[in-house]
Amino acid sequence: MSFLEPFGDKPAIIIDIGHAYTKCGYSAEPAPHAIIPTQVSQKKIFDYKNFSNSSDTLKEMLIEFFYKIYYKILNTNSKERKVVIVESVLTPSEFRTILADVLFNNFQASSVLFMPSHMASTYTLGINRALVIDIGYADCQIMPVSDGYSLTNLCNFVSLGAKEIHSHLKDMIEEYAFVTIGNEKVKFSSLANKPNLTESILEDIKLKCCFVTSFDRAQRFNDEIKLKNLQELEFVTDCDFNLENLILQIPGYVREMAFEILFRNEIDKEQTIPHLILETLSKCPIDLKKDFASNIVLIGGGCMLTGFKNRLVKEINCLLNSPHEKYSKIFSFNNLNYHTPPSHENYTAWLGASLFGSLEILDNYSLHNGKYKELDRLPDWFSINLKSNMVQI
Amino acid sequence: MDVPELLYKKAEFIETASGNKVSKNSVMCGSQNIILQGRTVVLQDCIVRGDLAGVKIGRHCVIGERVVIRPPFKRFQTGVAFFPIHIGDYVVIEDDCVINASMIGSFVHIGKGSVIGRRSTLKDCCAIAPNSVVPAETVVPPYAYYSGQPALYVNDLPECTRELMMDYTEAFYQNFKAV
Amino acid sequence: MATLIDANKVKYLCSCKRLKPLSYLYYCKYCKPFTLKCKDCVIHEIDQKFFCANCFDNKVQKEVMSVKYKCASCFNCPVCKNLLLIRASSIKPPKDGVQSPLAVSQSSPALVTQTPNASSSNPATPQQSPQAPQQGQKVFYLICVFCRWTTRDVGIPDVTSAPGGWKLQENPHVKRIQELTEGYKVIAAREKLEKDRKKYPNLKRRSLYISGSSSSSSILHADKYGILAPVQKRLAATASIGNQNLDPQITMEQQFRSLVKPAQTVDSFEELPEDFFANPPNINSITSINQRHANPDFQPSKASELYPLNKFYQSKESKRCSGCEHNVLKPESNVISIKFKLHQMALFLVPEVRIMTIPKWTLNEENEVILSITNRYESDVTVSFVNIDNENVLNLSGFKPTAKIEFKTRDDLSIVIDRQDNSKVQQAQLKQSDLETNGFLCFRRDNKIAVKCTVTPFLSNTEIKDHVKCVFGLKCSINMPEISSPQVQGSTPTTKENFVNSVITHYVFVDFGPLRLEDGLKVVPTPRFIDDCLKASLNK
Repeated sequence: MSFLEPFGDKPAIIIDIGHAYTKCGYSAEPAPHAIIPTQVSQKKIFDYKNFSNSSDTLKEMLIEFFYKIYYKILNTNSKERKVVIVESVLTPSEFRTILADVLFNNFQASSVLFMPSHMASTYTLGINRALVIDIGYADCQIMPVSDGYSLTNLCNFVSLGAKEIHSHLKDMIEEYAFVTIGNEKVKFSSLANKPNLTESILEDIKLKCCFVTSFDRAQRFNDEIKLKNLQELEFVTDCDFNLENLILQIPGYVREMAFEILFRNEIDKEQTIPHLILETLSKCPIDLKKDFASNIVLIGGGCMLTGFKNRLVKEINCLLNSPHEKYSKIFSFNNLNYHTPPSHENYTAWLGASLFGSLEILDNYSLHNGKYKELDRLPDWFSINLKSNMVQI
Repeated sequence: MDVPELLYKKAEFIETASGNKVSKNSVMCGSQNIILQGRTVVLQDCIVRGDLAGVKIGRHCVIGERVVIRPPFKRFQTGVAFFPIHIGDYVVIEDDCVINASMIGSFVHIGKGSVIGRRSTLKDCCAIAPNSVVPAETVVPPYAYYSGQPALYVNDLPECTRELMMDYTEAFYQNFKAV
Repeated sequence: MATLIDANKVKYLCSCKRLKPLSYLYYCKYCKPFTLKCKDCVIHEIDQKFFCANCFDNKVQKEVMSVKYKCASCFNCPVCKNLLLIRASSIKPPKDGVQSPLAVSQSSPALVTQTPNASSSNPATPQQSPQAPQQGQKVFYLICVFCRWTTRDVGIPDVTSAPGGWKLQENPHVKRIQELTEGYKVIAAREKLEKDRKKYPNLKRRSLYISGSSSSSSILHADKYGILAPVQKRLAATASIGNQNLDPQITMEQQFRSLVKPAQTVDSFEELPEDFFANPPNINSITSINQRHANPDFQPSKASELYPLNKFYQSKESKRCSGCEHNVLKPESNVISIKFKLHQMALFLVPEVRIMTIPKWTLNEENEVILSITNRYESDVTVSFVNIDNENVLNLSGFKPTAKIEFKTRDDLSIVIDRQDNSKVQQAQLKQSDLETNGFLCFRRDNKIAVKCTVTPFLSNTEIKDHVKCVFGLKCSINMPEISSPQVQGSTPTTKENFVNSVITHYVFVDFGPLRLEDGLKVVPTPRFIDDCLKASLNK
């Protein structure tokens, strides 16, 4: 940025590429310009490993995808624009290197900043330390953030994201759902040419019919399921869903219990979200535990499920206070404090990057085009070179 | 694939002075209101309702089989009024379409079986996918490819669409031979 | 128009080693010899003029950015993403009893001229009146033509004046975000100041700030030629912030805390309402994910919270060659026009190959295929065919040929394709030289020829679903006007252009389609009505 450049610079472009949806927009805006699926002609970008010649396919898909973002959605030239990419610290390096290659070489970005998503979300609150829980599509990541560093040695992640929920929901529908043909009820799985339950249909069913049930009911059902039959239990009323030309009847059991995999795990009792949050907390250094416990941030689309947040809080409180669990002995507090960022959870990280992207010190942290061409490797989050971009408040 | 040869029986088509080739079993109501500018081909079983309002079709157009071209109307308190329909040059309308548009530009391609809603405007050099429904009063911008029900923007057409359409329609006319 | 001719079958090799159909390629005449460019290897530029796809309302970039790219008068239905129309209806006065909705379109009030006159039925001109709707006053609401959603369904009150009626909703968190932004800007300015101080520790720090008393001593104030105007602007904006930062006692954190209220935490969240479990759900009242994402600020979860979506402004693109930065495609500045100021499409330079007939394939035997070649250049083009055996070309773009194409003619055969001549309509006629090719060239009309080639698929029986693909080289020799480097201004235009003959081999990749057709799938469109006539013409 030269000395004589006019002050009213063009705002930087902020893009948060998630596994399911991408949030894109300009800096200094309170919300993204658009939220679009991370797909190129109906194929998910993050499934690139399934195609042969995966890195080339990924590059072509990213070129196509960014062309759409720049010229169709944001309506702006890509040349000489600053870009901020919000990504999780745990993104595979292959993806990052190809992304940087595409942005610098094909789209002539003037500078690119890779911003860690968990840290970006703390920007929306103006706090130094937080325990950020990101429930996305592929997995759920729990990352403590302190003084500008993402503490990756303490982080935890589990593949309990929307992907897992969708496949669990699909199994439940296949087993329990009915279709009304004529006057009789037929099981969905026994239909001859049953329509394919695609991701978008499952997402629709998940949004409209299912919900996260309350803590008391879940406890009750868990005890009763072992004793009684499914039909005898009093679940919520059934629900009819329009699937192409059929009416799919989704029983109350599926509606209430679809999201239980987030909270109960038959195989490994400790691989659930509330357990993992407390696990992460317990591993934190003593001086930071209290800080993290009073600054919990929930981000990601998974947190927007109906009734999720309330249930999570109750589950955690139960674990903290129950004498059977070990947590009551480790922690002195008996509840956690949660933040409410000024945004919807699915674009909190985007908003944090947008706030940072509007500052004039963006250039000090970004990787400039000229510098990129001199490097042979994109600096990684975990590289020893301390001068590489680590964003601090 | 190139434009194939299409042959027709001489007795079944009328060829006018300006080179229009109209099938005999397509219905042209109110033919005094229907203007075909020249070298246009209208295939079998079409219905063109010139009795409701004026229909003006440009040069080198290709109207497929069983196409219904009906001028759009507007309902008022005292009744309905029909508005004229203008179709530009070098337009290809494939079989089984229903056209209620008020204006179709030049170099347009409308796929099979689509329905163009009333009073919609298709600007020059656009295309509509087969089996799509363009809702009423939609404006389709140039070089856009719309598809679906309702028809929404999908992607862009190449910038040489104008020349490709001119080529196709002229080749179609030349290959449309009497036997 | 790839929609009409299924252009994906024949692809050409672009200079960036990608395969694209010819209609999607551009050419750059300044890169010697001319190179083909595709959408992915060309630099796109958005034009300065923005327009709304519906009302074609013009705006410049700065205006468009201030309205966030949203057109104020055109709306999309939040349910089905279609256009919303403005409808007028009168407040019911006791005598008239007029309640019939009259459809008003945004575009052409001229159409109303044909209407028979009725008492209150001229909707094109809303009455000028005070704000509160009186009796006989027109009120407007939005209705979607496709799914019949109206603004009345969600409780948005009807509007008295149509233009500017439905304002943009404001994000409820804007104040907090502004507060945060201000706080961060202060810290950022301070950090930058400290960094600059660290960079030049030995330099005497002159006061660059324009302060009231010492204005004459300031460097910027003595700016004679006005080149430091942008810097003055910037420093003037941050001067107030900068002067606050000079106190080293206050840490950055304390300063931030003084400007921004700390974020509040909660202990618990809202529970599901009591009747949630008892009542059967109304699926139609819950929005789908696409409907939520269409309005990122609000993401309404209930259908009763949906709001009309503004249409976005678009603009045309011009393309530039990435090698030499010359323009390749430039649209007209008039928004509605479809023409181009600069229209360097590869279609106009390179002869286009299309498939004319496809035979019924027999494996490992020679099948006859007819390809047509069209020349759209302004002068004659000489072509000859080259068989490709070179491994380099085959591996260039990941194309795996499954058949071998052969041209049964002598190697040095070159065929002249005439230029397009619109003045006369010609009949198909073979020239004398064509007859000597022994049936290789079987058709010629105007600027188009057709050649017969043999294709031998060498697929094994297990790969039945594979397509028959082959590659060959098309050697074209064209007379192009010589391009000199940027002309000196004021030089007299040359009356004679020097023509340079350039010979280029284009690699053409043809995909004929699947080897075995599934039942009911026809590849070659057969003439429709008269089978016997067709047979008669084939027998000629």
